[in-house]
Parts: sequence; C-alpha cells; structure tokens
Amino acid sequence: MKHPLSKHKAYLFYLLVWFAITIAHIGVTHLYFGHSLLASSFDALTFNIIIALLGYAFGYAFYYLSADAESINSLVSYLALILVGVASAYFFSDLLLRKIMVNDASFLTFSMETRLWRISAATFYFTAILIAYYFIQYNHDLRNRRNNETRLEALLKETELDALKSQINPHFIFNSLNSISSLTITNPEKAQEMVIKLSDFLRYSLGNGKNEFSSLKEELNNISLYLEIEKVRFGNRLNIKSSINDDAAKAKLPNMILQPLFENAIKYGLYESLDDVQISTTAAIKNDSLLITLSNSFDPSSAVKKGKGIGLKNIRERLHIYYDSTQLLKTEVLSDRFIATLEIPQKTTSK
Amino acid sequence: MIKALIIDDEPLARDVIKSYLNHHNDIEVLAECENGFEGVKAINELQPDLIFLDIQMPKISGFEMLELLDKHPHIIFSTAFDNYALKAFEANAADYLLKPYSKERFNEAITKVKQKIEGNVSKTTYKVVTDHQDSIDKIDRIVVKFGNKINIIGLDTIRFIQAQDDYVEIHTNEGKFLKQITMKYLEGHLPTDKFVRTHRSFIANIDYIDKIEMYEKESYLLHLKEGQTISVSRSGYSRLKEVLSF
Repeated sequence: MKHPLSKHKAYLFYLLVWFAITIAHIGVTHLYFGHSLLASSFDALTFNIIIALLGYAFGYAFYYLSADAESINSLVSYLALILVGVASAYFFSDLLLRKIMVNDASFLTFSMETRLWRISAATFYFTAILIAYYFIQYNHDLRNRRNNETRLEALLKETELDALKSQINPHFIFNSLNSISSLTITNPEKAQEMVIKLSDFLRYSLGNGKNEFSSLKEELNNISLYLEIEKVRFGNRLNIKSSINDDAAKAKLPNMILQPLFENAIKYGLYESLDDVQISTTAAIKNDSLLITLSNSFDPSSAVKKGKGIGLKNIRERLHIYYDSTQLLKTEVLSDRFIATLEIPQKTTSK
Repeated sequence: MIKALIIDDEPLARDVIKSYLNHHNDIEVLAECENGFEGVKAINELQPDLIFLDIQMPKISGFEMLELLDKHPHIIFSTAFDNYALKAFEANAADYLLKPYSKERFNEAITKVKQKIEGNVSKTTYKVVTDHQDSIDKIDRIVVKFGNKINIIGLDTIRFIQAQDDYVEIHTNEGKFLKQITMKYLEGHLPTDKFVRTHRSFIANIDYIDKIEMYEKESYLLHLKEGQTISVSRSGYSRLKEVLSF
C-alpha cells in the first residue's frame, strides 16, 4: 500500500502545513476573540489534529480509488470521505472540548456560536487534502503511464523486429545438414563447400541484427548462398535468373526482407512441384524508390497447401514499421507464376 | 532378403540411406522414388517389405501417400520434421529417423524392422486415427485414388461429403470420389468455418449452400447450388445456424 505523501518526504510538508494552520488557529482565537492561550491551544489542537490525522488516513483510500477513474463512483467516494471527515472532526473535537473546558463558559458559548465556521473549515481542509491527493496520484499515474508507454514502444519494436527477422525455416537447416552428412560420404570436398556456404548464410542471417539496413547487393549475395544450398539439395531442378541495375545494387533496404520471398518461391515452386522451377529477380530505381520484382513458376495443379502467409505478413509488418505504409508489397498470381513486387523508398533509409 | 524402397525427394538424402545400407547385405534396394506418386506405383508393383519414407515431398506428403495404399510395407520415416512423431507412431511405423542421423541410429532402426519382420508383427494397414483430434493439424486438401489416378482435392472444390458404410463419398466440382475415412475424422479436421456436419451422413461446404428449407417438424433440407439436396438434422440445423449466423 502506497500513501500519496510517502514520496519525497511529503509528509513533512503536510506536518508543516498543519503546524502553521494550528498556530494561525490559536492566534485568531487568542488575539482576535480574546480567549485564554490555554483554551485557544486546546481548541486548535483537538480540532486540527483530528482533521490532520483523518486527512492523512484518507491517503490510504487512494490506493483503492484510482485517480484516473473519472467515474461518478469515485466522485461519490470523495464526497463520502469529506462528509465522514467533517462529521467526525466536528463531533469528536466538540466532545473533547466539552470535557476539557467545562469551566470556561464563555469559550463553550464561543464554540457553539462558531459551529458553522468549524464545519466550513473542516470541509475546506478535507476538500483541499483530497484534491491534493488526487493531483499527486494523477501526476504519478500519468508519469508512470508515459514511462511505460515509451518503454513498451521501444521494447515492442525491438522484439517485433527480432521476431520478424528470425524466421529462417529450421527444416531448411536440418535438411541442409542432412545433405552435408550425405556428401561427407560421397564427396567430401563438396561437403566442405556446402558447410562453408551454410555457415556464411547463417552468419549473415542470424548475426546481422545490428545493422537494420543493408545494400541490395549484400542481401542478394546472401540469398544466392541460400539458393546455391537449395541447388545442391535439389540438383538441376532450380534455375535462377536475375537482372539488377548498378544503381539498384547500391540501394539500401531492411535486411533479410527479401529472404521470405525467396523462401516462398522455393517452398511453393520447388518443394511442391515435380518440374523444373524458374526464379527470376529484377531490380531498378524508379522515382526515388527501389523496385524489386521476384517471379517464380509453380505447379498450379498441386492444390498446394496455402500456408499461413507468415512470410508475406512479416514483410508487410516490417515495411510498415520502417516506412509507415502498407502498400509497399504487392503480390500477383498468374496461371503458373507467382509475382511479388517490393517498393523500398530510398529517402528515409539514409539513417 | 528384405526388399526395400527409398522414397525421398532429395537425391542426397537417398544417398545417405543407400550408403548406410551397404553394410546390410540382407537388404536390397529395389527402387528409389522422388515423390509419393512414384512411391504408390512402386509399392504396388514391387511389393517391398520395407520403405524409407520422407514426409515433406512435392504434391503429396508421405502420410498422404500411405493413405492411398491398400497394403502396407514396414515403414521407417526419415525426415527433418520432428512434429510428426506422434502421427508416425499412429501409422505403426517401425521407427522415426530425424535428419541428419548417424549410422548407429540408422542401424537401430534396421534392427527394429528386422525384429518386426521376424516376429511376424502384422503390418496393420494405416488408418487415420480419429481419437487425437487436437494433436493433428487441420487438413487443407484430401488425396484420393481413382482407378490408377491420384487426385488431390482442394477443399474449396468440395461441395458436400456423404457417408457410405466404411467410406465417404466426396462430391466435388470434378465428380465423386470414395475414400476410406470416417465422418468423425473429417468433421474434426476440416475447417469448421467452412464445413458443417448437417446430419449423421452429411457434411456440407457452406459456400455451396443455396437455401435451407423446412421439411417437416425439426427436420430440414439443404439445397445446394446447382441442384443437390442433403438432409439436415435438428443438431445439424443449430450448427448451421451458428456458422452462418442467421
């Protein structure tokens, strides 16, 4: 349970305020109304200490009444607190004064005559205390929420990107390792070559998290490693064509963003088809944007399992995070070809 | 002599098996197959005792291939997927090898198969097990054999499915197909937002529904686009109501 005044020794300030109010109370009663110093002190102490203690106790209630619950309920609760506070302050101080001041008739009359004043004062004090609590709590919540929000946003972006990037298919890795295992028996040199390719591919794919952007050339180099590995696995069934402009090769794009497109091309083109598969890539700069087109053949008769579209969804989400647009990836299915077109704006990637 | 077949779409994966088998003079590889179609054909023609079977292959998976067989050889699965072990067990596989595997692990599998062969453990036919409804993914296509031809039926071409004793009759845009499978299995594995069990003997694809008509008290008829009519029971009607939200 956290009291609103527990921070920064705020209770000291609270004590000080009440000390000042009590002194003022004594001063007014003694000097202005002419009651004895003793009577004035008793009066001020009983009345103000009760209110100060109750007011402090009310702070705990704020643990349950959230400051941002701007409902009629919390307003009613505040009013109830004030009412309870005022009633108890008034009756208890009155009771005590009657016990202590039995001999001072003029003071008792005075206290009767100022009844309305006392009630007003108590109401004012409690209201002021509750408002103060409200603002302290509200501020606190607000700051907390803002901190949380910024932290959450940063965290989210980080994990999101991590998750989106690390989508390398484990079966690809295990099947490649199996191919290597096979080659170690029949063709150790080729096995070594493939181990090196697989290592280079994994190093780039897994380790490139620090750079969020790479040049198209770097990306395509990595992808060609991937495709060469698949070529070893599936032999001559895979044909690769590409035509990349020099400008385009230098252009930047979020790293590993193309990988899922090639994985899909391999998955639907190669894994699910009995025939040869063509994958062709073109890239060019147009209107300050890098345009990449990837097209692969597939077998339309295989009633291919449609997959969950995680690859394409990931690309869209990453592009959305970086470029704030959902229109950068377009896909098109022709009778026996799948075409994906990716547009990467070049101005904003200069960071 | 044990007659074996290797069914795997990757040449290098087949090479591993062949080379591990060099040390087993009592096992003869009759043929290698690159996919399930070749597999079905080769199994029916050559009647092997044992098959080494990959799961992910073009066109039809290893499991789908098994569904098309009348008689089963002993099976050793050889795959990079570790999430089909339960299903492989249900298929009564002798062993389940995770790629890449060692020669020792391979020999273990061979020992298990030999025990099965010598102990004359019956090669029970592969039946799709209906109990573990949650353990197996939803299906997104159905593979059937029609004469010598294998058809892959995409779910969106299925109009409705009708129970026929031990079989189901799958009515598609391309015609009717029989398959040995239970209605209960299909009900549990077809996507529930598209396929509704309207009756003990019928499952309908909601995309082909034309109208629903009251037949007599608490019994309805479902008219499909282009003519056919199928029965709807009371519980089937409430399931339709839920899916179509009317």
